Amino acid sequence: MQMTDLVRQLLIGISSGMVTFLMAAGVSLVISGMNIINFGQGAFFILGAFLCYTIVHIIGFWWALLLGPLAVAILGGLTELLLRPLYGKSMLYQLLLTMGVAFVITDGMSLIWGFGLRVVIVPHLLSSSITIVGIDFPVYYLFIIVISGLVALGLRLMFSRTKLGMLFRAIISDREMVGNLGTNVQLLYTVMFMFGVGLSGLAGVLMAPIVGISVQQSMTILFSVMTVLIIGGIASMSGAFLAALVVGLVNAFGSMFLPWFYSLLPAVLMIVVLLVRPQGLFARES
Amino acid sequence: MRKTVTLALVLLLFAGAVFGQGKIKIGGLFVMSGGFAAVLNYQLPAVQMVIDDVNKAGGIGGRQIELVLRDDQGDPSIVPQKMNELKAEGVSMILGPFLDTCGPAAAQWAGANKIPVIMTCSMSTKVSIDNFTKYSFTSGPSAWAMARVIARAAVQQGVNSAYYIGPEGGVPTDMYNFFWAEMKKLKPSAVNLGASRTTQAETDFSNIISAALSKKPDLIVETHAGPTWVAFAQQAQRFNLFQKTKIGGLYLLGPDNTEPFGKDYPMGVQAVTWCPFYSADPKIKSFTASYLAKTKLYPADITMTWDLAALAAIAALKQASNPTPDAIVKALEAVNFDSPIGSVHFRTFDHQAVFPLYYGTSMNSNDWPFAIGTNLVKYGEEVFPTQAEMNSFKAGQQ
Repeated sequence: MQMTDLVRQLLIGISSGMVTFLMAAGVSLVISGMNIINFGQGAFFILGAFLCYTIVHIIGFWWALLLGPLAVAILGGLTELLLRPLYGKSMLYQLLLTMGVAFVITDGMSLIWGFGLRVVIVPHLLSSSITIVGIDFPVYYLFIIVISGLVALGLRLMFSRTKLGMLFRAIISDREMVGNLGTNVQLLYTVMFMFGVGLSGLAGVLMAPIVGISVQQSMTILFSVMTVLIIGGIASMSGAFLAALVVGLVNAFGSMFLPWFYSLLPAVLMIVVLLVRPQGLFARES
Repeated sequence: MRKTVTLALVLLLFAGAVFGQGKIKIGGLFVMSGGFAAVLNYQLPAVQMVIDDVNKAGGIGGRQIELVLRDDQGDPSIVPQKMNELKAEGVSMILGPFLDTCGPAAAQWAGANKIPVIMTCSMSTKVSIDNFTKYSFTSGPSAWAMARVIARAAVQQGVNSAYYIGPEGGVPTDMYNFFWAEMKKLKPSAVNLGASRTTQAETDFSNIISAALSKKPDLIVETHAGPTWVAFAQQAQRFNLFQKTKIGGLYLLGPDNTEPFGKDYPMGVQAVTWCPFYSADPKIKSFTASYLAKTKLYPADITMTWDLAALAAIAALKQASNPTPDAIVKALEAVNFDSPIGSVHFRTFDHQAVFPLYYGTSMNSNDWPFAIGTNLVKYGEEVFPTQAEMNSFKAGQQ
């Protein structure tokens, strides 16, 4: 085992964790701000990937990176309109509605793109490898790290430095007070939901060139996101970030040192966290 | 008036019952939801085409064939429930399941319910030895045989070390065990560099590709297929894995795996195949043309497996004097039927369908819209495990 192999696993773990973070951040934002578990998040991820597939064929990958998440976010906005009559009612109704939306999106994708697998080819600029500390590493994975890292940084700055971020934080703390101050809470909910769903769309676009896209993957993806959220703390975005990195690194080094059962490790970690620190490793106890 | 209507209804019901009895029902257990539903169009039409042909020609003994479908979702825990539903529908036999993880459950059900089942998954020792019953047959190839083919090719190519990547399940486990058994027999100095096992639905392979690369193997034996293989291949391309080492596996020359890539499928992928649709043989050419006309898809290895299951079912039903379970089993054991890949029969001691296996390498060709297999080497029954070998394996397990 050489040091270069460990460095490569480290980079792989970070890139894998960063993509999971994008999805987890969206779910976490919606849970903490709106008290809704969006079961459609996996479907929005796959939709982002399919949109990437189509847009790449028409105008190329770079446009897909912009338009894919935007289109998914708009659909998210429409979904939020459907949720409005259910605010203040049992969380179960909202959960069931998002599940229903997921089924509709999945069926819609089947109609448009069929059940077959779709493959997105990585743009030429990103298809090569570069040498980092003596190892060949795919440029596309570095690209994922950079884009996801920028999004994470952007989210942090938005929450701490912008009015929208301030409103998001306020609504997470006390939505009634925000409403009483004259802010349009309904609109804020729509924006928040669009934000959360758009992040999933972006993750879908980024992952499209490295996974075969199929409409049936929605629930599998949701499971990996929920694992990260439970480990990090279900309504903590910084917890989601750290947990996604932990899970990515556990998978990466697990596959090297415990290759026969490394895929069990995140689930084992999740169970241990639930038993020892149910609020999540990185969340404050409420 | 009311009496007339009642009488008419009774007659109608009676007529329906008579015509219903007149049909021979065959159950089809497909994965119609979940990740593997993506390759359903490479499977279902193959069975429907065989049945349509028989029905157009007047059926069997004047009776039409009806295919009754169920979705097992690729989940072994659901398989018995779906098979019970098919039994309640009155099927004479069942084709499927397709995923090898469902094979043992299907074999157990067949034995308990005494209804013949022709499984379309690859045959593992979990089915042929641990759960073998008189009523279970397999039209997919034997994992033991395919492992031997890959090992023999590896030795011929001077492979000195290998790493294994595969999902859970009986077939991948057999592939690993029998590949190394054959390698050690043919080349005792060959080095086993380890293995990575994943779930059936894995989509992130970058970490295990990277871990495998660090071992610098001459060959990676890869037993994922379908959606998981597509994800693996895409990520492996990013790591230039196909330039750095040889890859050998199953199903990887089938259009279900190659077509999504178009001309960008990795070159040099080695795999066992039994549906060389690009071959010049007139039978397979004709089958390919029919399948393409019906589905706009080229047939894959999994297409052929379902086609063989359907052809076997029809041949057995024609041969059996009546479609009782025991008569069908007897007929299946005796039948030798013609198929697009030649004559096929089931072995009596393990109910494994025997047909030629080929080992080839992926390459683009101007004649096809995506990569096909080239440099095909044909293997016959000699690579399938003998009864003595299976008995010896069974004794070793106890």
